Amino acid sequence: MMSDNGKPKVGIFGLTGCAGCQLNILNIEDHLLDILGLVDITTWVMAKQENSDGPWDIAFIEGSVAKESEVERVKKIRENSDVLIAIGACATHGGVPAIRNMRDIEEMKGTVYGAQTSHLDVIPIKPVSHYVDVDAELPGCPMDKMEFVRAVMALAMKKTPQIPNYSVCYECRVNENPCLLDEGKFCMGPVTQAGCDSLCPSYGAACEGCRGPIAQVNWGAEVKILKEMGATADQIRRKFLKYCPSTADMEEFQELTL
Amino acid sequence: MTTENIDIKHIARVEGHGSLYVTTKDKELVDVKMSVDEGARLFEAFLKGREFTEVPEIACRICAICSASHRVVSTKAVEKAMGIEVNEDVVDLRRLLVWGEYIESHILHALYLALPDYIGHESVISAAGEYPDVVKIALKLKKLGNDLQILAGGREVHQVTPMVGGFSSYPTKDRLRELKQEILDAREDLQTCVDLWATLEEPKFERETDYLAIRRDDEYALVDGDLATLDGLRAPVEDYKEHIQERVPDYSYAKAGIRNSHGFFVGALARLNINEDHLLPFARSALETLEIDLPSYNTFLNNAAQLVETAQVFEMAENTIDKLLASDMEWYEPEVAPRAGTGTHITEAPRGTLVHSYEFDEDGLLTYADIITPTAMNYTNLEEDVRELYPSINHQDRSGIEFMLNRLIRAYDPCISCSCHLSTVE
Ligand code: SF4
Ligand code: SF4
Repeated sequence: MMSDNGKPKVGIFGLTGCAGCQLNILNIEDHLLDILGLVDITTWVMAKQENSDGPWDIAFIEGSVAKESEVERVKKIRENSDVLIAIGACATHGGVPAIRNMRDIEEMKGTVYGAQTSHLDVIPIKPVSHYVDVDAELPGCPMDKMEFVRAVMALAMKKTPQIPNYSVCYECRVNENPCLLDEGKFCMGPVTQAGCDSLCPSYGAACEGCRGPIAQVNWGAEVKILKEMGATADQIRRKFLKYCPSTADMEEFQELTL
Repeated sequence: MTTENIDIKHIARVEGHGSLYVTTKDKELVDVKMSVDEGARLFEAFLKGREFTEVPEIACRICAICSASHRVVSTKAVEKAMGIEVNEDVVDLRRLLVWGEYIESHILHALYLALPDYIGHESVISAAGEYPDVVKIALKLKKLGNDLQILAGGREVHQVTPMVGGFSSYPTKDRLRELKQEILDAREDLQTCVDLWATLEEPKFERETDYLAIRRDDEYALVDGDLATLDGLRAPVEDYKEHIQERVPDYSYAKAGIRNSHGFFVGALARLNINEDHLLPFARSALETLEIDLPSYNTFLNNAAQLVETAQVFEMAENTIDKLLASDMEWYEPEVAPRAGTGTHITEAPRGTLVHSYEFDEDGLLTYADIITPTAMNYTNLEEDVRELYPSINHQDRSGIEFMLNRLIRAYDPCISCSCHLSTVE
């Protein structure tokens, strides 16, 4: 299926989101021309006027599935792509807007649009993997641009991109950051998947968990630490589900008594 | 009689998903509908119940390209509600963050998204072959904007350091000095872009409309000021609802701004029209090179206006860095405690005027939010422009008409994912 020039055909798609993950691709200024040399981007509505309907060797999808028509769209993209990669918290875990799944949707529509809501196609927000198989996920809000560069290089060599399976705390130790929990900040580092080079703690800001829970997540220990520091059950719940509301479906999470 | 529909689904080279539907009968225009197809995320509704400290962090996720503006305007609205005062260095560092966003966003729009239309390419990717030098300069300038955002905010998209009451960490003076030098060095590159743009042909189109922006007496207003219009309105931001109204079109996920039952224009051209008297020398010379006569009523000139503003922001950033370097930069932490209150702030995001207005209960939990984005404000004006432009292009073939309509929409620099989070209807 390769292009005539022998490069893999790539499609970049946005569902419902802020376009930050697509923007972060444009933000790879130092490597953009190299990346463009490795692949043939045949579809990218945000950056191109002429866009093909596929098929693609690799598809990147940003944003979450937030309306019925997007369910059809992800299925179509899946059918027409060899490899499908979800990019960013919206696509991998629902992202911040999926917080609304825990509320009454009719009431929320009314809050924003008043009486005129019949034309809105609104369904519970889900990550891409809820509807189709994904081959890899690049988490984070936004997705880390260097992780994207490494993923494209791996995919160009027909390998699956590797995502670290340790916590942000590990990167914090490597970077010799002082621990923010010691400073009384409600940091999510211990339960959050690494790969951002502990970005927020390195700037003195608590990790908000935007990359989602690590595989062997120990929610209980984190709850205990935060409670001892004075966090309320509500605060902890809000933190755990801020960027990754689909976490609420995890068995370990459901067993949690906050 | 022949009815023809010109449907431009998924307008390309803009942020987010939008479509334009134009119905014509015997080449006469019957109906225009701009539709925002982005799924509704309902930010104003799900922000309810969040703590005041986390509101700016979540609210900035409305839009990536304007995330710094959303972050700063949201933080200021929260601080007004909580009665928090920050010191001048914090104010200056926030301004620097926003200057970075202006450089990044304007270069992205003018040179990556709009320029291909002027030089006959379908994208900046395809233009890179014929114009490698321009593309390299565009990459360099965009990166400079991002470097400024990283310096002040820790990251180019959805910054991590800005907090209610200050920042979680601050740049060193050495880094500030380096950045200032980079901005000075980049003036030449920006001049090259301005000179190039001056050789391009702008579509001829004029429609006098209402232009709105913020304004202040002492400088070119980008972060705070009063609400102002070209025909002389000056009003405190708290009164915004008297001056900016919205309707809910039944064919779109966005609400549409109206003023005096018509559309109005916000963005770079509106700001230039309203705040021209505060332009600094570099921007003024860019304005002259581009031969823009102000006030200008040609929507297409919004792209050129973005380059003028980039020059303006270069100089403002240089001055702000000088001011920070001369200060002790002793960051103090104001008391950040919850209380009940309301706060409204209005800023200029790169693509136009942006409102955030909140109410909190005594625990500092949000009870009400109203956010009006630039794309929503421009919405009605955009449809009105299409009506006005159409008769002058209807002799062209279909692809020519579609091309011009695409260009017109792009000139607005619409940020469509922004536009679906609009205000509560009272
Ligand atoms: S994951 Fe974050 S940055 Fe990416 S589209 Fe969603 S909100 Fe935007
Ligand atoms: S430190 Fe946490 S919140 Fe910050 S980028 Fe990394 S995972 Fe996301």
